[in-house]
Parts: sequence; structure tokens; C-alpha cells
Amino acid sequence: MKICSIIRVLDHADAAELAGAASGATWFRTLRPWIDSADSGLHALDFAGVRVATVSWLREGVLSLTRYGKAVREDITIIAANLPELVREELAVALEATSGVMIAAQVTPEHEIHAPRVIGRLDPALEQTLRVVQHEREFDAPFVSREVPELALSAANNRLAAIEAKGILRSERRGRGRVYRPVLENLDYGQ
Amino acid sequence: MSAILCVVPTHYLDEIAIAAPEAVLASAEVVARQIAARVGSIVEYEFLRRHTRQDLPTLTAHSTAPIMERIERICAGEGGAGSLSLQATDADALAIPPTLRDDDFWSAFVKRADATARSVGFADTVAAGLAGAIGELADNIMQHSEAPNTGVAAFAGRPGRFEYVVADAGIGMLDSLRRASEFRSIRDDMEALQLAVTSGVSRHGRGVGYGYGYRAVFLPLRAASGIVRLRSGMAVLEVSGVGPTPDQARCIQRPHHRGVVVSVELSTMGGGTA
Repeated sequence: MKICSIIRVLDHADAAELAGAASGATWFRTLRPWIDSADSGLHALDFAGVRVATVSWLREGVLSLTRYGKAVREDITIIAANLPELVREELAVALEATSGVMIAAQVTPEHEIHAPRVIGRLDPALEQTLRVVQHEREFDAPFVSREVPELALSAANNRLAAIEAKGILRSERRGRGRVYRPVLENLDYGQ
Repeated sequence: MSAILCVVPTHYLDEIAIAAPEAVLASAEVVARQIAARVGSIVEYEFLRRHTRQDLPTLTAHSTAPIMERIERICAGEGGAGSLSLQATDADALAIPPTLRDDDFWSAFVKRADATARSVGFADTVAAGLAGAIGELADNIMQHSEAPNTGVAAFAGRPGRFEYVVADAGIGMLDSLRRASEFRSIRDDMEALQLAVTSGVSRHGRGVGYGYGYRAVFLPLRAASGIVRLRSGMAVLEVSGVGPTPDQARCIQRPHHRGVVVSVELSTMGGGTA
């Protein structure tokens, strides 16, 4: 999956220090119209140059934007790009606090993606499922049902749909079934 | 606690809060001299004098320190955004504006704090974290104090040390946390302060995605030596040392103080240098 656009986080913020819920909410409101008109596909929020971003700012800014994107535009995926180490840590805390996950990766100016990884924490059942499929190119519910002992087909279907809803997998109908694949190749999960 | 931080004269404030007026008057000059460059102590004293102990003398009667006068005027409501700017790089104070993001004076103030922290020897990441913490605490005042127009922020730097304070005269930590139904039974300010520095705890409850403001306060201290002091209601919470964490904090009962004062002092002695 190719990146359609790279949005520089700082271009829409007033300072390199991103702190406070109110400031995050303002940033979200600034970028919300962009979601409405964005092309279908993958978009990267580029954190290059961000020196600090607090949990409150990330919750009201970035996580509000991704939630809004998922709610109104099923055809777009937003990833976090070029996160400085401290910001990555705070984003992980914000995601865990809100039971969310997000893909983080290194993205070059030429839109090349390196080392994509899911940050945040899935609930144990979804985590188990993702670990089973994360290095597979394509898979379906019967595959997951076979790989996870005592997991019924319907439960496997539900789990894959739930992971897709979190923006980590995408799917297409094929015949009578649904085939899934990771949003990005070589996607890792966990620390 | 490192030796250099032992001289932070916060104990003067605790004693002043309960001292007889004549005793305070007799020692006012000493107190003013002791805390002349300590923005945390100056703000705490000023809030004490304005809201709890109106009989206390002004510090400026015994000191000519510009930052002391500036804080005193801001607390008196005479320090509208930037109108008293010292244009100094080593210390400044500001009345917290009603809208942080769109306020040029606030942005400039945070940038000066950041630049000052770097200029006195702290690493870029630590300085950025300090600026972020100031922003986060100011935002807390907007969200939780119910008296945002009382907010004050100040910082001061000197070689190897940086200090900041963010304070308000609002409802205080206890009443704020009691807004959450699960915290209605909190017994006192000591319990409230200990809860307030716990990640994931806020007036919205526990574990609902809010309550990470004090994480931003402790983050820059990971790589530095420092002391964090929170005062609200009848309690003071303090923690100090290299890389102090909230779970090491000690809480003690003190005379009543309206609102919340958060003061933080860092030293490069424990690391965090450029």
C-alpha cells in the first residue's frame, strides 16, 4: 500500500512542544476538513521535528483525528511517521489509555515506508490473533481458526473484523469468504 | 536529595503559614533574601499572602529582585499578558492567558523557558520536556481549576539549575477529584495529591483515558536531578533525587493553601546535560 500524502504535524501546530488537551483539540479541528477531502488510501502524520508531545495533546489531537477518520472515511488509513523516541513512548501511553492502536513507521520524503509496527495494546484475544497472522501475506478466518486452538470459525471471523476496524488489517470479499491482509507488509506488533 | 537541592527553602513557607504575625515581620527580610531567586517559593508565598494569610508582609518591601516584583504584580491582577515583560532570558513570569494556543505572549514565554533551560546546561530533550510540562500544567488549570483567571506561571534559570512554577487559586485537587463519582469518598488533601500524580487518574475517574498531566512533569526529570513539590488544600507532596517518580513521593499535612501550586526544580548534577 502506497502513501498518498504526508502531513507534517508541526505545520498545523503553534509550537514544537505539543502540550495540553486544548491545544490538541485545536490541532484536530484544524485538520478535520482535510480528512473529509483526503484521497482514498494511506496517509502519514509526520512527527519529524516534534520535540515533545504530551499524552493529553496526543489524545485530543492525533487520536481524535484517527477516530474521526475511521468513523467517516473507511477508505483511508492514517499512520504515525518518524516518531522521535519520547513522542513514540507518549503515543503508546495515550493509545493504551484509550484502548487504541496505531501503526508507526519510518517514512522517507519519497514516501517509502520502513519498519512498520503496531503500537498501543490490543486486548489479549485480538493480540493472539494478530500474532498468528502478522507475517502472513493473506489469510482468512479458517486459517486463524486452525492456528488458534479451540477457536471457532465465527469467533475467528469476529476477531479479524475487530482488528480490521482498528485499522491494522484490510479485507476483500472473495467468493463466499473474506480474505484479509495487513495494511502494510512486514508489519510488526509489540515492543 | 542532592546537596544543592537541600537549600530550597520550602520549609520557610511551611513555617510562615503557621507563624505568628510578629514573627513573620521580624524575619521578613531574611525570608525575602532566601527566596529572592526562587520562583516556586515566591509564588507560593504570594498565594499564601493573598488567599490565606493577609497579614503577611509583601516580599518586595524587603527585596528589589525584579522577578519578585513581577510575580507580586501578576498575582495582584496587574500583570496582563506581556505588559510587564522583563525581556529577560533567565527569569520571567506571566498571568496564564485564557487561550493558550492563540496567545503570542504565552508562546513566547514557553519558548523563553525552553531556551533558558538549554542555556543553563540542560539537554535539548530535557528543555523541550520542561516547556511541555509548563504547557500541560497551564492546560490543567484551564480544564480543572474552575478559576483559570487566577493562573500564574514563572520560571528561572541559572547555571546548572532550572526552576518553574505553575499555580492557581481554584478549587484545589481534592474538590476537583471529587467531581468523579468513584473519588467522592476521598478523605483528605493528602490522599487527593497522591492520587493526582497517579497516571490515569483525573476528575473523569480512573482508567478512562484522562489523568496524564503529571506524567509530563516527571518525564524531563528522568535524566536529571530534581525536586517536585505540589501544594493544595492542607497537604504538600514532595519527591526529589535523581529521576524521581510519583511513587516515591512523600505527602505531609500543612496549613491550608487555596488552589494548586506545582513547583519543580532541576539540577544538572544528576544528568540531563547538553
